[in-house]
Amino acid sequence: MNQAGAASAAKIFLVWAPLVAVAGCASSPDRPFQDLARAEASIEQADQSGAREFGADELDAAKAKLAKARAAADSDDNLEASRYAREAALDAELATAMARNRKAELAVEELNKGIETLRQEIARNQARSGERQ
Amino acid sequence: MIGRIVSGQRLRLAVVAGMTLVAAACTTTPERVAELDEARTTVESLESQPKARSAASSQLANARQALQRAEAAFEEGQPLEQIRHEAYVARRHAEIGLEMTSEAEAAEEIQQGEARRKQVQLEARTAEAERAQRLAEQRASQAQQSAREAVASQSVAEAAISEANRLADELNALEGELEAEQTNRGLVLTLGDVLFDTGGAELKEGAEVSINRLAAFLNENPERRLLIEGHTDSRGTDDFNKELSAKRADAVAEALVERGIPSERLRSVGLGEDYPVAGNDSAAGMQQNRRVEIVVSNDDGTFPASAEERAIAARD
Repeated sequence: MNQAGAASAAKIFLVWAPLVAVAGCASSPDRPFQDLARAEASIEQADQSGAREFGADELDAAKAKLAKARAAADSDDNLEASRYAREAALDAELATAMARNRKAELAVEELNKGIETLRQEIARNQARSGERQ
Repeated sequence: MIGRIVSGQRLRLAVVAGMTLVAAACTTTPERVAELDEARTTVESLESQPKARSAASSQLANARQALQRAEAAFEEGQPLEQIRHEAYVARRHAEIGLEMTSEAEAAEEIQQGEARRKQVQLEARTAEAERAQRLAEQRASQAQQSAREAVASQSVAEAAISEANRLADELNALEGELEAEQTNRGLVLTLGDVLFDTGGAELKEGAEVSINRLAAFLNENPERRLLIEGHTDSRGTDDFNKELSAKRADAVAEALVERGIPSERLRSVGLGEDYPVAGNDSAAGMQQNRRVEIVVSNDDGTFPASAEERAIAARD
């Protein structure tokens, strides 16, 4: 190969390499309908399972991310839209899990309180009927 | 020979440099990614929970997979947003898993709490029954004593005998109250689901006392029969619940047969989730709904019409 040939080959490489590299990063997938739908469903479920009371921060984060996901999808940034939507769904699912856990813990407290009341009542009753005899 | 080694090294250098360039075109990957460290810590903390495997198995699997993807993205020098995203996904799955594990622990505590509550009630009842029995025996022996002393006077003896009979009736009535609750289906005794393993139909050892009492009651009242009804909460399919409740009712009947009660005196039916006694929207409500109810027949061996209706409905 002569020197001129080598130089033009190098030029071609320099022009194409960055383009190939950029293409490697930003593929352009379709609008992530499924991810968006799952995020919407998870947020609705969280709303219904009392997450507004027991997982408010996570629920707010989910809603904010869903809005960002929609905006990204509208400007055709579908990879980013998919990430935001998936994170929104997980935020909402965490909010739901927190609400369920907190409710179960409250039920435990309630039950223990009930047992204590019962025990005191029985002790009082027995003391009273003991006096009668 | 030397030339070949040198050219080999050069080639490797070129490949490494090329890869670095491609990665740099996307974004530079730092030495550490804080989100990835957080994800590792959270996933490890879920893995260290003994209950996670049963209470949050899919979250655990999802968290591990996402963490692997994050690690791979980090190794391959993928864009920082991608590494952070996968790390975030892993952390969230692990956090959800931790909440679910903790919820399962609370549910277990509720189950144990129910058993504790019943234990407290049982102790109170036993103490009360013993006191009542002592009192009645005392009065009965006093009555017998008076009867003997009044042998000369027939009317006084008769009065003493009727007093003794009255006391015996009182005792019986007391025992009825202790064992069961009066409903429009007759006397009903409820066994909670703490006597069974979750989803299983084998009686636990703790059921021994209740079953023995039941057998003793049947021996003392040979004309009475039992209708044993299994009930479940609303989780699971109808068919599964019918079958589980039938098996649980059968287990109680079999335990009584083992204690010498003729099987003709026992009827067992699985009613599934159709007759809740509490709402199925809370763990405590569901706990109350998982039970075996035992209906005691009239003293001629027949059951009240409303109890019959249920048993017949179960056969459809």
